[in-house]
Amino acid sequence: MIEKYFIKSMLKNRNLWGWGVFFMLFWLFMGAFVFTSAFPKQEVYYKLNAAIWFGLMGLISTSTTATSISYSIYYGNSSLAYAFRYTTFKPSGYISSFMLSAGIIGGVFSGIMLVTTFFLFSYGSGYTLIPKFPYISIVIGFVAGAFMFLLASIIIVIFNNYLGLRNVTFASFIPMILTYLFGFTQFNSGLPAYIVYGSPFTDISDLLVLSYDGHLVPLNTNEPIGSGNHINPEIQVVILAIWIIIMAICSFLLIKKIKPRSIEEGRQV
Amino acid sequence: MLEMNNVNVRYGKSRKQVLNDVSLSVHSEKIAIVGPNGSGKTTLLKAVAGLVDVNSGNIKVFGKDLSSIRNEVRLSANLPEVYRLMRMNTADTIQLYSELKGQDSKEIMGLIDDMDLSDTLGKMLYELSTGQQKMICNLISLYGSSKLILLDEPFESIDMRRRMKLTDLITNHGAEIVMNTHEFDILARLKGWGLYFIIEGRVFGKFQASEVKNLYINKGVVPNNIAVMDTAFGTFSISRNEGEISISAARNFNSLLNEVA
Repeated sequence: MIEKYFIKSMLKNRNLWGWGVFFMLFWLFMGAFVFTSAFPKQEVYYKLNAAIWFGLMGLISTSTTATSISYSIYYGNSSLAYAFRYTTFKPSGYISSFMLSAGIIGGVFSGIMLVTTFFLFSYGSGYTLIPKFPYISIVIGFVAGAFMFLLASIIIVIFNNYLGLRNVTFASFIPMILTYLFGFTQFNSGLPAYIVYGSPFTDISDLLVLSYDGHLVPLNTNEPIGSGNHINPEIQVVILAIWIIIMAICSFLLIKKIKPRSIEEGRQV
Repeated sequence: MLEMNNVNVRYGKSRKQVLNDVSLSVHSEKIAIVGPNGSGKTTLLKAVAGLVDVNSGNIKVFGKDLSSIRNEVRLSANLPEVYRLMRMNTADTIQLYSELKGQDSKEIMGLIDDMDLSDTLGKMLYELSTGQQKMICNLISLYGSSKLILLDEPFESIDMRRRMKLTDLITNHGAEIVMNTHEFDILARLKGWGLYFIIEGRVFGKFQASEVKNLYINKGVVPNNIAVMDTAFGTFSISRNEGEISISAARNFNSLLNEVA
């Protein structure tokens, strides 16, 4: 039951709470009380607005776990290489345990975002904006956490083994950069349908939006509700599942060959 | 059971040779490897632990080639980088590695208590003093059913009281042990242990640790030598019973080399 050590370690990580939860709560507050004037004052728009904020912050919140996970793998590269060789620890066990742990953290963070979104946006709008499928929000949060672990592990092991650790800080922020890129562009300027469906980041945020709002998510959220095409969540679930399976295989192949490197190689100054 | 054949390790962009054609075998015995700082002692243990890339040569542990070893729980090491799997306090680190080795942590908790280290359990490993960290890594590697234990400078920064207890623990242990040190005072207590010298990545020996008081180091090659060491400092030879400088009289290898050079 190595998961309990991962979960304990992550739950005691103050950076993770600071950036993954409290910073997101700050933006939810801004979304509920400051950035609210650009759409019709109707409950349906308020609810979609709350759902989009929840979807974005839920996605970004789990992406902060990726940064912490990257550093965990970077600092533990020698320990992992040793543990796979001289303990009962196996790469498959490491990946499944860390996926489960990151998933649980993702689910917890998603739950916190959900409850906070409900209270802040309901108070800010004057409507009771109850999430439609809260259990789906938790499940998607879990999936997002597991996805972020896989992404972080693939990127950091590629840098560790092949590209060098001088750019380890950049490498640890790649999941977050991609999250901001796909998350904000979809909801602020719109993305082509093939990217909305093909990107796991937009799949996660759209499914979170759907779980809160209860209606199909518009392909272009800048158009009036009901006037454009909607995203098919079943297709997004299938594509997300394919991404996770492919990434789990890649992560396994890379982690089992992790090379011990001096953490001093990552020193910046 | 450990076999190293013509092992070469080079580091960094300059490809500095840290281990130079090292051949060593350990079969049902304990050995001490003695050498000055920077001679390649730690790299030798890291090579066996799989923590450095071996450029050429081969290493076999319990008859298996290092590259093919997976889930071999009979080897343990006190190298600190081995115990950084995640951010944990000492108690969790001990518990986790006990689980990963398939061992009960009760025995090590007894040792921790015996060494007056109970107050370290709630702290992160990096919060401990150098000596405390070293003791915790020593104890994790020494307890349980390991058959081959790699000890890198186990006495470094350890106070005298714990040093005595640790010496007993190491000398009475039933496993094969490969222990690095640059201190000579401990060698006389290692009865029945093999002894190797390592200088500039080259291993010389085998001698008996208990005969260290009879070993002398000489500048140049003397007629009755039992080993000749070519180094950047010059050529030295080791002789028995008589010679220029008694090895056991020196505090450590660094001062010995300075004196003889």
